[in-house]
Amino acid sequence: MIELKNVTKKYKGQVKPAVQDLTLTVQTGETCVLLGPSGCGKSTTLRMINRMIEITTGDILIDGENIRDKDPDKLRMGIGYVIQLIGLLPHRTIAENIATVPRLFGWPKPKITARVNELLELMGLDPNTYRDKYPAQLSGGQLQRVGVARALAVDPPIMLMDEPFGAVDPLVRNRLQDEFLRMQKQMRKTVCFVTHDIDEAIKMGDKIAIFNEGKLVQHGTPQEILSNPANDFVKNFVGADRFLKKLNLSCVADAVRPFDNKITKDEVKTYVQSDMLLRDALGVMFEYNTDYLGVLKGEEILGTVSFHDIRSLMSQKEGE
Amino acid sequence: MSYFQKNLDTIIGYTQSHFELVFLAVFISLILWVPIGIMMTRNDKAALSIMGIANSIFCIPSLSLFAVFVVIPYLGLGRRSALVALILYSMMPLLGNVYRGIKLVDKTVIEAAKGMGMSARRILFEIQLPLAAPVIFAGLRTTVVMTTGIAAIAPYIGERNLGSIIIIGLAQPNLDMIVTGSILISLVAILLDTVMGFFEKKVIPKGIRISQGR
Ligand SMILES: Nc1ncnc2c1ncn2[C@@H]1O[C@H](COP(=O)(O)OP(=O)(O)O)[C@@H](O)[C@H]1O
Ligand SMILES: [Mg+2]
Repeated sequence: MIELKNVTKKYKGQVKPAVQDLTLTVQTGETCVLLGPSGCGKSTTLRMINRMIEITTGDILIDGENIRDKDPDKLRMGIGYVIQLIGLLPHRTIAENIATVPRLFGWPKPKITARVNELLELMGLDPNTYRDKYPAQLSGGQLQRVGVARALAVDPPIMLMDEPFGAVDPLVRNRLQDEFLRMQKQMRKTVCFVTHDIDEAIKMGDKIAIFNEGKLVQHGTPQEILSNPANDFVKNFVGADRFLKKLNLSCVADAVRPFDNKITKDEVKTYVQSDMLLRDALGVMFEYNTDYLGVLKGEEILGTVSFHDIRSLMSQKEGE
Repeated sequence: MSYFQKNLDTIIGYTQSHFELVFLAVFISLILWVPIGIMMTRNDKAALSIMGIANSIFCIPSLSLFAVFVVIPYLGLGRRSALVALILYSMMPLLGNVYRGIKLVDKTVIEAAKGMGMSARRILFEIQLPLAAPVIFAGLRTTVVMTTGIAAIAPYIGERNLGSIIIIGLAQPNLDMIVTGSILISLVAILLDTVMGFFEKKVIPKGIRISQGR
């Protein structure tokens, strides 16, 4: 658990603090996305957690221990850190890059080799092909995977990620996001993830913390933020299509109901799988020009989902 | 070429003395300027003044600089004054390139390394110096070639080396001596530069050569 308590950061010569009186808790195993426009203090907040930047006033506790009481290098060795521009060592091979922190911990060589291979495979990079390559020989997406692998090397309980997928094209970004979500489902690390992209925040975050001009303006689940924006700033930031964005947060299974005498099996023109996102289900309705879809889980028929059901689900306010 | 054949022993002595002066000057310069260059990267204000001094010294004509040290008691006529002058000249190429080389290292790489918990010491030895190696080496090569050339002026303040052949040749005048001296000094410079080039290949990490497409 990461607890920020009344944290303020004022850079030298700055009149207005970059981060002002921030109190925020990130629960163990949770992904908290720090979201907001450029310059609102997201990176500053993230970098105070691993003491890349010293706090001006306030405290940060990790699992109850004040980070001030720890040696900064030791603290950082135990926290995964991924940045947008990755910063791989250009004069070291991919394997050596991933081995950086294990080497700091003094792991024996065979253990390091095994771990590096394991991570490369986890990242979908064939160890035999990539181990001995240099960063200059890899594509942007591959480099970013290596950056994540390097941060995961000693399996740290906490990951700090500063716009980690910001520098790659949308297609690759989507795939990296999906891969990370899949891994995070098993790893359950405590993640602080910085982005200025609302869609990425909704996709990646268990919780979203929205910042404006150094202040936290809203902290909640993506659902809460889309349904009940705290003020006009948040409303504008999430966009006029925030209810459409909610369609990405639920799947067909959330809106399915059994067939009854109002809607019968004969009326559905097509079937979709229950794990399809509601947004995609709506697309299918438009495609077939229908208000009803049949819902399958594998081969089994679960029931139906209607346009009306989706509409009422989406318009529900939080705490319904 | 008759001068060369008749005075082989003298020439060998001069060559030896020339090499000695160059090696001593470069060796002391390395010990002095590399650490100072590294320290300068941690204090931009001081770095600016020090580089200013280095540039000014570099602008002083070599004969003047040699002459200045001759009047200082402990230094006087001879090798000590020559050494001090040569070491000060190398400030510009050597100190400057150590400083610039390290400053040019990608900030993101340093940021990432620090973020992983690498100590400042490790970052210096494992990242900054290897990545700055091409620039530092370029400075070292310049220093060696430049020192070889300027050392030839040192006979004016009592040192005896290959420069003596040219200086005596000019005074007599003796064209044979002037040509022989000039060719020998050039050969020494070219030889040293070639040897340095060979070492450079060994010192510069493979990953850097790949990323620069070399
Ligand atoms: N090292 C620094 N020195 C001075 N000001 C800084 C420094 N880093 C960031 N700032 C300022 O602090 C504010 C917040 O920056 P940052 O945390 O990087 O924002 P974000 O990551 O949300 O874009 C900005 O106004 C920025 O100009
Ligand atoms: Mg930022």
